Formats: sequence, C-alpha cells, structure tokens
Amino acid sequence: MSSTLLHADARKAYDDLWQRTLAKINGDLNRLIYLASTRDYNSGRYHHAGLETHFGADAVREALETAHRELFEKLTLCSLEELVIQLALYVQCSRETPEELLKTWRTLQPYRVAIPLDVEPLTVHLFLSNLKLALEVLQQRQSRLQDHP
Amino acid sequence: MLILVLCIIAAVALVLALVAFSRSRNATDWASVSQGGSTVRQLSRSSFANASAIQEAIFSREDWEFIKREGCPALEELFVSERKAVACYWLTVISSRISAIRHNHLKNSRLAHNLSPGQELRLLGRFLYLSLVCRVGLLVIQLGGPLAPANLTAHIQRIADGLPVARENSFAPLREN
Repeated sequence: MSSTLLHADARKAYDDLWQRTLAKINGDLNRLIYLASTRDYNSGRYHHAGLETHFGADAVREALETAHRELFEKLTLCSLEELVIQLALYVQCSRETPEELLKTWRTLQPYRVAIPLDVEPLTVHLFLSNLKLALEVLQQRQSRLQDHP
Repeated sequence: MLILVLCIIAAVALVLALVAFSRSRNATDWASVSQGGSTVRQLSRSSFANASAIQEAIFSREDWEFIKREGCPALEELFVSERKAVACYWLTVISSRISAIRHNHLKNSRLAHNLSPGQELRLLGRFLYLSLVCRVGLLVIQLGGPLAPANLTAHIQRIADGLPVARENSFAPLREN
C-alpha cells in the first residue's frame, strides 16, 4: 500500500508501521480496528509509543492517520464479497465465539469507532451499510451451520 | 392544447429514454480489476473520497450477484433497502454539489468581463440537464430498485466531474485581466 504523506519522517514512520506491525496483522479489517485503537477517544489524536521513540510524535500521528484513512477507503470500496471475507477473518482471529461476536457487533455496532475523522458522510454511510450487510451474511451462514451441522 | 400534449409526449419520451439508458447493461461499465481471485475496485491514491469509485461501489451489480448466491430472501430484501438508501443519498449529494457549483458560477460570473454567451448557455444547459437527470435517477431507484440507474449514475458522475473544469475554462479570460 502506498500513501500520500507530505513529510519525510512521516513517510519513514509509515513504512516502519507497515513493515513491523501492520504486515503481521491478518486482514484489512483487523488492521483497521488496530489503527482505530491507537486513536485517543477524546482528543482523536493517534499515539504509538514504540514508533514515537524513533520518529517524532507528529510524524507518527500523520503516519497512523494516513494508514487508517487508506485502509478505511480500501474497505469501503471493496466488493461486498471481499468485505465478508475480511469480517470472517476478523471473527476467526477474535477470542470470542462467532455467535457472541456477531451478536455484539450487530447490536452495539462497535465498528463505528473505526471510522476516521473528516471522512465524507457518503463514504461513512456506504461503509456502515456494507458492514451491516456483511454481518447479516455471516449471521445467515452461522444460522445455517447451526441448523445443519 | 396541442402544444401541451406534445410537451407531455416529449417529457414521457425523455423519461423512457433515460430509464432505458440506465437499464442497458454495458460490460465496460462494470469494469473492475481482478486481483488474486477477489475483485477489488480501482482506487485513486490522491483523493480520499474518489467520487467515481464510490459511484461504482454503490451501484455494483457484482454485490447484488453475491447476495443472490447466498440464497436468502431476507438478505436480498435487506440489500435492496440498504442500497436504495445509499443510492438516494448519493444522488442527493451529487445534486447538492451541482447546485453549489452552479451557485458559485453565477456568483463569479457577475464579476467576469469576458463572458462567452455561447459557453454560458452550454453550461446552463448542462446544469439543467444534470438536475433533471438526478431527479430521474431518484425516480428510477424508486421504480426499478437501487441498481437500475447504474449506467445513468455513471453518466451523471462523468458530466459532474467535468463541471469544475468547464467553470474554470469559462473564466480563463478573467484571470488574464
């Protein structure tokens, strides 16, 4: 994945983030959730202690923000089939049972925190709608599996 | 009376032509890039909300075919209702953007000295055409479902993409002054 980073330090931090962290995470949805978790809920600022020891806080923030936005864009524009694959991968990597995770995601919609700041409402609308559909697809498959094990 | 009847016939013919245009399937309009077995739509790296990629994603027939393969009527129903909402929202957003560009253009044209009447008329025609087509698109979604106006919306997107360029060109002599 490439980015449109403006500063050289941010570019280095971005490359480091991909090589050392994101490349080891399985699936884009997992990566998106991870990146969203590096953002402070109150200030909306991104932090990564490990990266900040090598690069400046501003560069790290820019790198994390860019990676987050890019992954969000990729998942929003990917096909529904691909999104279902990504969601299934996320469920698989989770410690929760598929039933429990699907129930929580469908009711509480915790994935809303994965939306980057300053995203166009139309893009957000499409992302949320697609994720809702992907959850329903997995739920249907899960129900079928329980009915005919 | 005869003029009124002729106008109604012309309006109906225009709506029918646009509906037929939107329903006609062209393989190239669904162009997407296959990567490693799964299909990923092309992204532009620079602009975040790549307008045509979003249009392509919303009116994707591939997504509908995937849902149909799941063989669950409830899922199909949910897909139609979800995509209908997103598709209508897309048309509303596009329509607002067109209005904003038009408003901006009118505001700027009051200060311009070297306006070309021909070019202005062409632009006005394009604005009016786009506004009409957006309304037709909303109607087509209600009548034919969220994917029915796929080609029509691609057409709207292409023309809307050209609007700011047309506006800039129309003020080229102004900048030189």
